[in-house]
Amino acid sequence: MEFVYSVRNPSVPTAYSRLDAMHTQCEILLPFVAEEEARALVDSVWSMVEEADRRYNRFLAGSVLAEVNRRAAGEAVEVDDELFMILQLCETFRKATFGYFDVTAGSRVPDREVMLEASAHTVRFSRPGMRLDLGGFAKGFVLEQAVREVSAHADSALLSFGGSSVAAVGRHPLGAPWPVAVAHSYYPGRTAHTFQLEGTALSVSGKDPHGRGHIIDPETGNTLEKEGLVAVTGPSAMVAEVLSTALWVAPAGRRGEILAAFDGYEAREIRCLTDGQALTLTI
Amino acid sequence: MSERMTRKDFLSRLAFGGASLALFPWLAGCSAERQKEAAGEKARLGIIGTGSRGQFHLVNLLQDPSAQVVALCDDYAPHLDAASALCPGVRRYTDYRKLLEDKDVDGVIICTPLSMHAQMTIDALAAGKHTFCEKAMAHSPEQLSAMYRAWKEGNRVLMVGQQRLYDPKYVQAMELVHNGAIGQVVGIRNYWYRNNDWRREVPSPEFERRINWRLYDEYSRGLMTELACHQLQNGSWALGGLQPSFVTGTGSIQYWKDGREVFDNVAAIYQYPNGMHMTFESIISNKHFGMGEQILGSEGTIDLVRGIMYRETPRPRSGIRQLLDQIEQGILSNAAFAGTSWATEEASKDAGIRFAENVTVNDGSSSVGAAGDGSVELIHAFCLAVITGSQPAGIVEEAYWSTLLALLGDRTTRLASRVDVPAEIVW
Repeated sequence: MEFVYSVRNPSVPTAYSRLDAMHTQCEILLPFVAEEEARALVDSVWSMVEEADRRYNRFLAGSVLAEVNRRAAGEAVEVDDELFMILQLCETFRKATFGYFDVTAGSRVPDREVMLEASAHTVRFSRPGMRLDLGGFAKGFVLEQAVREVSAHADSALLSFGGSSVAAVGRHPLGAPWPVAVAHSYYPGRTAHTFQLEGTALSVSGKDPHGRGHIIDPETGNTLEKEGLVAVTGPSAMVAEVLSTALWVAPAGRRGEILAAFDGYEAREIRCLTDGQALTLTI
Repeated sequence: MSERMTRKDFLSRLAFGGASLALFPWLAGCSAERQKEAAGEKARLGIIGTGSRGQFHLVNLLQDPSAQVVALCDDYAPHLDAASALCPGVRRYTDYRKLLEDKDVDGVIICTPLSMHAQMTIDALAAGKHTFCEKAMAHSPEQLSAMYRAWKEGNRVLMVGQQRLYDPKYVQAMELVHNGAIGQVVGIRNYWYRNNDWRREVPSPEFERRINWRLYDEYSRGLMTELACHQLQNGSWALGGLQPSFVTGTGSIQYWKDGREVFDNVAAIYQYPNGMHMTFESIISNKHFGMGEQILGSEGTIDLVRGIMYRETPRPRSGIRQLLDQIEQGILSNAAFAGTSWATEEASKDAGIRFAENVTVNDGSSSVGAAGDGSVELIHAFCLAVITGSQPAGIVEEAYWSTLLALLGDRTTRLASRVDVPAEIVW
C-alpha cells in the first residue's frame, strides 16, 4: 500500500493512495481532507477492498466463493447474508439483461441455474461443473461501498479500481467535474474519449488493451473475441459494472433494449482506429 | 469523433478504417465511389497460366460479382483441364497470343512461371488488355524496366500480385508507423522458414523443369523472387517510399542437394540512406519460426504477421496519480487512465496490443495463397480497375521496387558482394 499526502499546492492539500488488490491496482485521490483523517479513511476503504478480495476471489482456496464453487453442485450450501444478497442481485441482473450479464458464464456447461433458497440462505447449482465468478461484479460492489464511506467524510474524491471501475465523489478540487479519459489503445498520451464525472460512476468493459479477451460469452462459455469498448456512466458503480459487461457481450441490436430498463445510465461504444482517431457511438 | 454519429456512420468508418490515401493511394480503387461506378458491370477476364495460383484466383473470381471469366489458357493440359472443370464452357486456349486476340477479353491475369511474366505482360498491354501479373514482376532488372516502360507508355491498367498492399492488417500497421505510434523506425526484420523441398509432383521426368520451375535459374530467382519479394515492400512502406542504397548477402544449397539450381538458404541485408537496415532470411530445411515480419521502432515494435504492436514502455502503472501531479500544479486537465482493467501481473510480460481484427496468422507454409492475406481484395480491385479503366495509383511502382530489391538480393547472394540499388526507377 502506498500513501502520499501532498501540500505542494497549499490551497489543495491532497491525499493519494494505492493498493494492489482484486487482481488490479486500486487508487484513491482525496483533496481537502486533513492528513490523519485521510489516512484513517483510506485504511477503512482498503480494509473493505481486502475483505472483499478474501471473500470473493474464486482463485483463493479459502474464500467463501471458492467454497461455494467446490460444494454447490452436490448440496445446498448455506452462505452469509451478504453473499446471499449478492447472488440474488446477480440473478436479478441476469434476468434484466436477458442473460448477457451472467456470473456463471465461464462454466461451459449448458442449462445453468443458480438455485437460491431465501428461507435458508442456501445456494445450489443445477449442474456439475458450474462455477461463480464475481470478479467484475465484486469490484463494482465494493467500489459502491467505498464511495458511500468516502462521501461521509469528503466532498471531493476520485476512486479507480484498475481504470475499468471509476467513481467520482463531488467535483474536481479546481471546480469542474472530474475529467476522466479513456486512453487511446494505440497511441500513448492520446485520449479516445473524455468523461466529465460528478457524483457519478464509470465502468469500462471490453477486450483488454493487451489484446486478450477476458469477458465470457454466456452462450458458449468462450472468451469473446469482439473489438472495442463499452463505457457506462451512472449513479451506481455496481449497476454500471453490470451494464458495461452486459452491453459489451450483447449484440448491437439488443443493447438499447437492455439499457432502457435502467434509468439514469448512459452508455457509449468506443473504438480506437489505427490512424489515431477514435469513434464514439452513444448506445 | 462525434457524439451524434449514427450507427451506420460508425460501422462505415470502421469498415474503411482510417486508411489514408496519401499512404495507400491504390486503395482509392476500392472506394465506395469506385464500387458504385462499377456496380452491375463485370470485368471479362482471361487467365493465362492455370496452375495452382491461377486456380486460386479463378476460385475467388467465380465468387466475385464484378468478374466474369471468359477464357483460360495453359499449354500444360492437366492444369487447363483442372481449371476448366471449375468453370465448364469457358473458352480454352493453349497459346496466350491467341487469347490476347479474343475481343471478349477485357483483362488478363498472368500466373505463369516468373521468366514468362515480362513478355506476356508487354504483349497483353500492347494488345489493349488490362493486365494483372503475378509477382514477382520480372526475371531480370532489364525485363523489369521493359515492363515498366510498356505500361508507362500505354494507357492500360497494370496491377501486380503483391497482395499485402490490400491486406487490412498491413494497412493498419503502416498507419501506426506513419502516425508515430512506434517512434522512429530503426530496423526491419523479415524471415520465411519452411521445411520442405519446395517440389511438386511430376507425372514423368520430362516435365520436371516445367512443373518445378521455381528450382531452376532459367525460370526463377528462387527464394528471393518467390518469397522475399512480398516482404521487401515493408521497408519502403515504413520509411515513406525511401529505397535502400545497397544490399549485401549470401546463400547456398546446403540441404536439398537434389539437382536444383536455386539456393535453399539465403540472407540479405538492405542498407538505407538514413542508416537503417532491413534483413531478409529464408531457410527451407527448418520451419520452427515460420514466417515473420517485424518493424522495430524507438518506442515500439510491430509484428506485421500477427497484427500486434508492442510498446517499449508499457502502459503507466499509476492511473489517477497523474491527477495528483496536476492538482499540485494547479492544473485542471484530463488524465487518460480509464479503460479495461489493468492487471498488475502483466507489468513485466507485455502481450502486445492487437490492432487488426480477425487476424488469420499466415505461417508461410502455403505456396499458393493464404486465407485473409489480401489476395481476394487485390483481385477484386483489379476487376474494378478493368471495369472503370482506372489505374490504381502507386501500385506499379510498389511492385517495381519490391521486384527490383528481390532481384538485386538474388544477385548479391550469388556474388556474395555488395550490390548498389539505383536511386530512381530506371526505364
